[in-house]
Amino acid sequence: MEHAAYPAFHVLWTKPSVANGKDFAMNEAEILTMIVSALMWQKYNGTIKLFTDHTGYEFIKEHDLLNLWDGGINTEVLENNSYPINPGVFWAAGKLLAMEAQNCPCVMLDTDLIIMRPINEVLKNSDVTALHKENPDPQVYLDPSLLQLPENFSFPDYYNWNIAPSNTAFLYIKNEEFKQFYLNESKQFMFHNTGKPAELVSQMVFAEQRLLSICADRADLPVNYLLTDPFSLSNKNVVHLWGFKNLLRQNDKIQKIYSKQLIKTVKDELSTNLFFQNYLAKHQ
Amino acid sequence: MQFKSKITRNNHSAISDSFQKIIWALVVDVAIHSGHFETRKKLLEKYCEDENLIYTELENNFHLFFELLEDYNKTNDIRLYQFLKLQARYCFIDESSLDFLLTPPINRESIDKTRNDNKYSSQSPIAVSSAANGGIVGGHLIGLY
Repeated sequence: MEHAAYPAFHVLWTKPSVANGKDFAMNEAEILTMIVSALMWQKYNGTIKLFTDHTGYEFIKEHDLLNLWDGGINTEVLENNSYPINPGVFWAAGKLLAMEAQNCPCVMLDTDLIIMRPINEVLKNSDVTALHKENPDPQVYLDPSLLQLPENFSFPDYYNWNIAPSNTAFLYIKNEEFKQFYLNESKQFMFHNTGKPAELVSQMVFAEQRLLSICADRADLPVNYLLTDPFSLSNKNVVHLWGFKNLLRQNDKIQKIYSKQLIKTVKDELSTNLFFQNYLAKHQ
Repeated sequence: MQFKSKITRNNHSAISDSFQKIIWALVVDVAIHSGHFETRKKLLEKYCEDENLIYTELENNFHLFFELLEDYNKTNDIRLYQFLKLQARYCFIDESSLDFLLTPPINRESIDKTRNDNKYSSQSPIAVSSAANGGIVGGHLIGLY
């Protein structure tokens, strides 16, 4: 199928698991979701590559997924990176490191997010598009006075703390200059910042999701959203596992039912996709 | 050539009424009277042959259904109910029949409440809450609710 070229990337960064003393793992439902995410993006929106590290590469190889990404697999960026970032605190920083290596325009796509339809009409007039606005829950998006900071760091006066954070499970950035600005702000906060928050979330969501909105506001670029309400039934394009991953991890019966429904939904659209058909042949 | 209309039949249009009764008897026996699924397999297999259904698929669906029903009855987790309802369809069990198997019976008011408790407060009247669907976005696109 002909489609506008919106190069996207997935990230599997295993260092946070290792830093927390766990083996990297994904269950079958999460793997299936990642497969469908990559294949549906290729079908409707553009190429997609994977950024991962050596452990992630071995995981991908072991699960026979090396050919899933038509844009190839890059292990160099995440394996060789020497930035002073604590992966136990900034567990999604791998996405930002990958984005730094990817030229704009680019789309960062979480492996648990599926775009079911072409979205070039949404992206073509946008500078920045994220998934949806985040609920500014003060338990998650902490007051700046409560965030852990690196030594000799203070927040710039121009940060607008009233702007709503953006969910970046999907993030499109058109402009290289803005991308660098956003990533530099994020790196300044993450570098040498080792204070662990009790809930393991607030530091990361500030560095990734709140800062995106703050930087866009500073650059005077409106953030466009794929969804006005994440749980609206008028959503026709996006499936995102989001908090559902916890339930999937707790209950293998739910995994099976979810997987059955997902396959049933996309099997016609991917009926000519050799990778998907081989996957089904092995797993059904 | 004669065609059998499916339009006027109920949700169990894929199977005959007699098979429907056999299935319900099996489900009640296993779920409520602690009967053994294994002892009913031969009968189930015979009906599958007669009704052109794939027996192994139905058997797997029943195993999954009974396991999840057990999980639900232990926890009363409303998120499991949504999936139980889905899996019941694969076993030709409709929603009202399913509710008969639950201990205690499903509290519909709590489901309706979680549907209305959307923290995103969409102006759209057709939004579901993250509590009712386990936190998935776009679950309706893959038939989860």
